[in-house]
Amino acid sequence: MTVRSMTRSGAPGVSAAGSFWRQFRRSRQGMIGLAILVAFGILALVAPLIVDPAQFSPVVARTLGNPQWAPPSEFPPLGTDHLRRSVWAQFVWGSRVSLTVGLAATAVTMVIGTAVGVIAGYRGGRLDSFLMRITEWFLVIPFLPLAIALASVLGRSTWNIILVIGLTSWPWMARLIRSQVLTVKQRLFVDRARSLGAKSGHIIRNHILPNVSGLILANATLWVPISILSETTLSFLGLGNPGNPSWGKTLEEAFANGAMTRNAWWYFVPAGLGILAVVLAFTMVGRTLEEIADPKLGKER
Amino acid sequence: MHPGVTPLVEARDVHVHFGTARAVDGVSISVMPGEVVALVGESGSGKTTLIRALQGLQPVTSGEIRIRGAEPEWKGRAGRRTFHDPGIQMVFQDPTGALNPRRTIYEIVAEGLRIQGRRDDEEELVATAMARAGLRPPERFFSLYPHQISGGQRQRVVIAGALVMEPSLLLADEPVASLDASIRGEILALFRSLVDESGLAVLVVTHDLGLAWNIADRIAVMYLGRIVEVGAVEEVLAEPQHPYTRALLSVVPGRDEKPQLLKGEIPDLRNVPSGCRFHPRCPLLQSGLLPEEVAARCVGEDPGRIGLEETRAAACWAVAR
Amino acid sequence: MSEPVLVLEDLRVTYRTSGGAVPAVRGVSLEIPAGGSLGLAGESGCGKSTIAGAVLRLLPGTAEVSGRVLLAGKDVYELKPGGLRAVRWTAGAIVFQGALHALNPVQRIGDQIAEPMLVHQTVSTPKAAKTRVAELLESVGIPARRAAAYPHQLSGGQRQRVLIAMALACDPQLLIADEPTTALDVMVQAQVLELLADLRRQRDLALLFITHDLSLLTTYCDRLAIMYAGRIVEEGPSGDVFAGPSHPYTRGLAAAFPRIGDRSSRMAPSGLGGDPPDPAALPAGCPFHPRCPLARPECREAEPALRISGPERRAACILV
Repeated sequence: MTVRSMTRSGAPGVSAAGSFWRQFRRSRQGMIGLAILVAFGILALVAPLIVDPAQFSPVVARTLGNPQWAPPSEFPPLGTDHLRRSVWAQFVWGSRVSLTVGLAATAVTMVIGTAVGVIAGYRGGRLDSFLMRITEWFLVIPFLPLAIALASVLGRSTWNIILVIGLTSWPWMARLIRSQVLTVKQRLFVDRARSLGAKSGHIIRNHILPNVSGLILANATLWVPISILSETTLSFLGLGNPGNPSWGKTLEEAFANGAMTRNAWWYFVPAGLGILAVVLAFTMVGRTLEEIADPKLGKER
Repeated sequence: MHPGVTPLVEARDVHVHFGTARAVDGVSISVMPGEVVALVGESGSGKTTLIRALQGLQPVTSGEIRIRGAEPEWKGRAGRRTFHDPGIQMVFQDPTGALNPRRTIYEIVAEGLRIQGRRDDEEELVATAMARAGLRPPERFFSLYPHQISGGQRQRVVIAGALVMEPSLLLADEPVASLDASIRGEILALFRSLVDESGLAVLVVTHDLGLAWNIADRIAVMYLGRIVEVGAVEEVLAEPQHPYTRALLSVVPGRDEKPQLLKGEIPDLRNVPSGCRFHPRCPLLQSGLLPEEVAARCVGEDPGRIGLEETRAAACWAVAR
Repeated sequence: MSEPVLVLEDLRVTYRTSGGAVPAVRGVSLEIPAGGSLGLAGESGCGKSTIAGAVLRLLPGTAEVSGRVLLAGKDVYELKPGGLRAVRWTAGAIVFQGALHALNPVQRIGDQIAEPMLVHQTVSTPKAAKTRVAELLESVGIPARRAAAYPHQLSGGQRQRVLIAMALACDPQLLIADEPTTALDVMVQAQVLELLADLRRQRDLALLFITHDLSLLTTYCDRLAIMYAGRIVEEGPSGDVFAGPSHPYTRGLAAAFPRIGDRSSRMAPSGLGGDPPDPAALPAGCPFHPRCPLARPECREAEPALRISGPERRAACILV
């Protein structure tokens, strides 16, 4: 399978993880993406130390005596919005919300998608057809109407956004994993395990999952930006949690309150760039992982 | 045949059908302790399906399989019954494919033990099996991955993974076909020495008559789902009776005789010819030298199956049984 | 004697890899006369398939080639792209291994056979090409009406025949067959090889037959060259070499193919110990010495050159 990467990782005794990291380090785009992610990750982690979320309440902002619609020159570092709140505080806090939603929604996608994909691909037969029909049913439902309907039924909360994104995006993952499982299932070492008397659980744990895990990881990384963008979309449409400002929420409020016409660029540019940088960084890391997991991709590029 | 000795495995009139395709169509075969039996045939002869059935992985349509004289412990519902017997282990054709690239050699060899839930003396058993398979010293290979060893060593790992279960029978499917010619001899010698030293039995599926000559005691030739000739290797290869065996032998490279080319390829298993299934390609029938009544039987009457009790036989109307 | 159809003079091929230069072919010289046949045998990694690619300049860009390859008198590595295209197919054509991959699955086989003829303009009209395709298919034992079939509708043996027909499309003087029958059953293999032998007789075609199966070469080639670690270690008339090898490597390789009926090989499979060497890290001296049953201390020092070992025979071993 990974003939190229395998023959390269020469010396005996080299652990799989070590050779993986060495290959990753060789990729410039992967390392740049990783650096950006680490920076935003740190920002998200330390956000509660820098920012007190209480100040997102308009009342608190007013009592703090902040000016309204202040440009960065008047209220460093990033000015204030129509409710006198600090844009910098929202940006920092937003990184935390956007990353959480992106990662958690991806986790939901991966868990459901992998479970359905592995079971359908490994079992085959009627169960496979049944699961694939369900998957297709979810696939043909347009994302936005479903997400809006679900969000309005479940209520406006960050966790519901995560759930909505997870529930609408697992079918893609399930199909991808299933196709990979179908190939791995044909491999002779699965036959060998079966001839040794292995039960399905053993084969899936020891042979199927380790051989699709690279793909799962790479796709998870590629799925985070999609989840972040979905979160942005849903927040922008007003379905996000008002007390927990994400970058998408910031964009929505900026738009709704006429930041564009007022030329208050400091309100929406930071959130927009934040989304762009994180999405790009995840994509760069994901592509790199994908190339390592499937060396054929690298050759074609 | 060996009175008083119980065969390790015995198949009696086994059929395996896939829809209308009769992959195995009434085969009887047995393997005694300490012998090497070669099952020879081309692809489409049903030989791989047959050994999968003997191993319990392939449900049989009808017929009887006995392991050490007893019914195997069947699992699953009727028609899809399988069994697993740790005493029967498999050696695969393509060692590279048979080894999970993400597992170490130690984990691969130990896998069978772990599946059976035996963990106490694992390391010792693994080391012994690897040494028996010629991977010496075993510790040197423990933490390596399959891509870090040579093709011949990989096949030894597959063999060690089977030996660790202390089997009495190895089923080997073209065990040297994907190996370099120079390594072939070493692996075959390993099989033969395992048999001679520990009384292991081997049923080896191959298209290579030279392999049978190298290591097998008995040979069974399969064509289109049936065994068409059986006997001791010396007898069958010195004086083949069935015209198919004769043709196969004649095309072995480096022989003095003129190759007897059969026309076309093995027919589709869904369309087994009537009468003798070999008759549309039979050079003997086509030569026109057969007496008329024999030729008529070839076309119209099935020469039947070779039974378990027959030690030397050919399923051919032109050969007296 | 007429001009040889293929001459290799000190051919060397080195692959550049991330791990450094890997020599695949290390100075091979050989000759195939018009209508002659040479079998090239050796284990995987010995460089035999690289030679096939080097003759028609089909190697990847990472391969550095030096030495000379004269195909029908022309130096393949001096040719301009146009001349190179003309030499491929018309002077020398290759029959690949793995017939399933070498054919385009979505194109009718007739069109695939016609393609090189139209490219090289050896026929003037599509109609003429069609007639020629029919002839070629019949000549390889496939009914002409099968020209409309797709590769998946043919059996493995038939696909291999189609590849032979393709190679013959522009009437080459030399056919290079690289493991043409490895994936085929014994009977089908015999059919294909007999077909090749017949075609050679009819068309006075020269053949470079590359395989790991030494026993095939003795039946189908006049001369035999055994390769080890990128060099020829023995060559000579095929029957003599197989029956009485001079080089210990040839002896080990020949013993791997037992003669059925020969009592000495009954219950005594033999072969060489050890594994083929890694081309990137060849042992010093004679590269075969770590596996050689007859190795002496001197063998570690210098790599022996080919020397006369009998009538029309050469071997690279100090014991010769």
